[in-house]
Amino acid sequence: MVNLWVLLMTVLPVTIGIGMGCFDIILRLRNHHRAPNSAWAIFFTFIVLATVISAVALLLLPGKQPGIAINWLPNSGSMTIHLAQSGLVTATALSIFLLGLVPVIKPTGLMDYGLLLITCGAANLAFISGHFTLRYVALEVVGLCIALYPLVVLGRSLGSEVSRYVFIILRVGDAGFLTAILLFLQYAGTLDIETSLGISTSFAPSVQLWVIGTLGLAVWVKIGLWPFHRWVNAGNLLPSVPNAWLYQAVMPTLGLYLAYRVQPLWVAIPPVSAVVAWVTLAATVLTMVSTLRHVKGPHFVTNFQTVQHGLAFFLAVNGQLHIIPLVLYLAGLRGVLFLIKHSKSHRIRAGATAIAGVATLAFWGNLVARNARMLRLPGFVGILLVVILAVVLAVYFLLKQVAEYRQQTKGSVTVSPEMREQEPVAWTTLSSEDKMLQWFFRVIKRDMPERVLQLMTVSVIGIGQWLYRVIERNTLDTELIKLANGVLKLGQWGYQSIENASLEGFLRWIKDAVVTLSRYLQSLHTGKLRFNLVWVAISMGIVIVALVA
Amino acid sequence: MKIDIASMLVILVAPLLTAVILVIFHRRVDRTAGYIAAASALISLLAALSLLPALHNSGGPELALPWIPAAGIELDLHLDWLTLPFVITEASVTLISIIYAWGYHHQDEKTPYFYALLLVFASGMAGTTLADDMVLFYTFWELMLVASCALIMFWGEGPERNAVALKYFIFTHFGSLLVLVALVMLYNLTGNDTFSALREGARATQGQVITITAFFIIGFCVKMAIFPLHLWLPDAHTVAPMPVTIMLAAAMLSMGAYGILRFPMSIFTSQQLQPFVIPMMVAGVISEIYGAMMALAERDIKRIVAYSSVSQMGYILFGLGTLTFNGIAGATMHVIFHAIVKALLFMALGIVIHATGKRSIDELSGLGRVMPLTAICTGIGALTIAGTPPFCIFDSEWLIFAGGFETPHIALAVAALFGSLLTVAYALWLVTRLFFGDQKPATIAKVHIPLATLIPTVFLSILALVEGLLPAPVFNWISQELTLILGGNW
Repeated sequence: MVNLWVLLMTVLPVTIGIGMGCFDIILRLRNHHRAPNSAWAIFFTFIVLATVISAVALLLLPGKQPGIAINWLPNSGSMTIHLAQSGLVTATALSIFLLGLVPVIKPTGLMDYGLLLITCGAANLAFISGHFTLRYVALEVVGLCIALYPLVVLGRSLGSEVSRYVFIILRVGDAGFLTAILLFLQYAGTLDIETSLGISTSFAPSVQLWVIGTLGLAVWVKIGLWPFHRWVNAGNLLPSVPNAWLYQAVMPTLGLYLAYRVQPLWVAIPPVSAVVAWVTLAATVLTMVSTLRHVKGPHFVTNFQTVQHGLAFFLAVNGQLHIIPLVLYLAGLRGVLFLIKHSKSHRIRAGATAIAGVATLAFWGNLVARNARMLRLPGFVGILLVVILAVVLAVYFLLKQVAEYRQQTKGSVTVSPEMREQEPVAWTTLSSEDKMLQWFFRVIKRDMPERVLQLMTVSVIGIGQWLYRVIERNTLDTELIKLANGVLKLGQWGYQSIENASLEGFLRWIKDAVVTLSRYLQSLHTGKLRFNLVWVAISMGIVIVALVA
Repeated sequence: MKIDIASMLVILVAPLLTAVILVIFHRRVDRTAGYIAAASALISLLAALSLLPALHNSGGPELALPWIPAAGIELDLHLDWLTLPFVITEASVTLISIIYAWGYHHQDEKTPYFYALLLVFASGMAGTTLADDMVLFYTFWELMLVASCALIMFWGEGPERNAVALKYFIFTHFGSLLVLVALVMLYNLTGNDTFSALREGARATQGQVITITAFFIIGFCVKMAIFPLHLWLPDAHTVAPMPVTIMLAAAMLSMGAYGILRFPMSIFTSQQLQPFVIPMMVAGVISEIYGAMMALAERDIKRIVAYSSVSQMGYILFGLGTLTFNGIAGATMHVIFHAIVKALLFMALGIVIHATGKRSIDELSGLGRVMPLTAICTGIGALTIAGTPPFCIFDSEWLIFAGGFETPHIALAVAALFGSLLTVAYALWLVTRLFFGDQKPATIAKVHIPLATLIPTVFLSILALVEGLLPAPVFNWISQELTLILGGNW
């Protein structure tokens, strides 16, 4: 029975998704392509519901493991499933989130449904896989679907560029993950996650350094930390519903879950962990800087979520591993907030922002307060201050944005009867949060802390802008563009100078030299008779000398 | 004569005999030459496949005929597990190229000669792999070169075809001469020219091992088009007619890998070849990265895929250079899978070139609207060559990189693995630029794609997926081969 639930949770959505995708391709080839009707929507809902039921059923069967083992790649062992509670809960949360989105998905074709189903099944497989290869393949499939979605939705020109960009960035993380996997294979002799992690603590320090570094890279890319945050931001070009699920929920959650799954490694070598932690913190702060810059733009919520993932990863690397499940379980909730945040209504956005701000402040404040003394990094107080400041500033900007929304609505929040009917969630949210919002509004706009904060904010924003100019605009953007152009130029230069000039030029030179020499020799011994006779005489002389010698 | 020996002879003789028939009766068969050639290639492929049970049961057929007894030179043919993957790849690529040529090649009175030369080329490759003595090996090695060179010279595209054919000949012949020097040194060492005698009795000093191996590896690297010995490849692949390009890229390049496996690796032990580990791995990584960078810089779509061959051969050399079980098995699998994907990409691009008459990527865009099936096939080809699971190249790259990590040189393995990101970049860039951008006004509105070109392309796309999902049979064949090389002690 466990096997059946596992298959329903993973293979069913993938198979149906592939079927839908193929059918869509056939329709496109025959020029019969159109948006799917309600029957397809019901079918899609049914499949997602089956996935959710399977995940919940597996949650209700704790301790039972399926007997599924796949032998695929040579010399990498049987790929097995391991039903851990954390993976199942996260998979269930994401599947329920997708189920909740069904009414608001507006597919352009069956391919949309197909990609969502394949992603759902592959992500579930990644959460419950007990073997590194299976997890890698599942992550690759999810990455491919995520990259293909813009191509399907945004059209050929923009979509193809976004797809290419997203896929290449995600492959950087996959390259890191694959490196770590192959190191596990070599030094642990197995790719079973539990066994290889158990052995990994006895790896040589240099190998552990490689493993931790490359796994860190994989996590950084998948959660979208600076400088890899742009693939997550690219999702903002999509409609908000698939963006919320594919870009903001699935892949970052998979990245964070990867960090959780390989937890013994993060604390294996304290100096290496410290380096990973410092780099993670720096990347988180730089993402925060980017967040401050995009406070009014579409990337704000995206980056804000990434910052939280970065903080979770940072704390996890410091030994506070229990934080990751907390963040993971909230993935669905954050997704809902993300959707509400993209609502056209100012009121709904204000309410959502306030809730997100308060919840985030409470969540991280609580975590930091509880775990402050347990951090093992040298100079942790300083780091904590940076983290707290970053969180406070982020929340401050959230509240500031709330205030701006309120100003846009001109006065206090009033709820019309139409809104009560049309947007019951928003109405409930706003009516309960109204007083709190007003209080925050006063605090921010009039009280002393506001001025202090303002001063600090101006300074931080100034630094942020400077950093943005230096790092993002002048360094990151320019340097990335320069890097890309550099690679291209290097290629072109190599092509021109090595292919055309140097190597071929050298060969051409040799050829010319040989031809010139040949012509010279030819001119010596051909033509006039006396030259021929001279050559005959010289040749005979050489032969005689050789014979005598 | 035993049936397995007859089958082995059929692999070699069927194309040669058909070529002779096509030349003799060229006036009568000018319209049916393609079908006759395909039938011959099919017979050759079936004969190769029919030898699988014999290999399982008795270790493979052998045929030995005296030739120059005074010098100990014989005409020996032998099929073993090392030969089999290469023979089947060559025969399959030949068949597919000939079928593709039905729709691609313009028929005229010279058509029988074209197919005859294709078959001689195929026969050269089959003979090179089936030969069990040095003289026969070198004879077929050169026959392969002469036939392919003639195809480029007479049916090549563009006014520079003669110059390109000459360049191709000089370069690869230079490689052949290095191989010849090594062969003569081996012959002097053993006094016998059969491979079986070489495997058992080549006692050489370490200096001799290094000299002979260096000659072999450099010579075969010319055929594999490893940087900086690759200069013949982009021109030859671009100028050659598409069916010849497919055979050059998908089958002939792998002859270099076969040579390395057959000679230094079959004759010497792992310990004797240790000095070549780092040079081969480094050369592999450089070729992998350099080829990919050139593909990114190139604007001609045929040359882009040609440079990708330089890059892919880098993976193979890297895998061979690791001298590990996984690395060598991965490299051999990569030969087969690269043949599939390279034939697929060249076929798909051939359809594009045939339909538009253009090769510059700047002039081609948004073709997915008018040729969606070709776009899907090219997309599959791009994802495959980018090493995306579950397509076949992922399996072979997995083994190659695993082999890399088995050596103490982790940094080189990491460089090879991260260098593969450049492959992702050029493969996706090619596909998205060609098929998904805004359509250029000058490109075509509707095209007729011959089924003879489309069917093999679709077939190879499916094969790339099937081989990726089910790598075990190919791996099992190749694992048998590994008992024959580096002393067989794994």
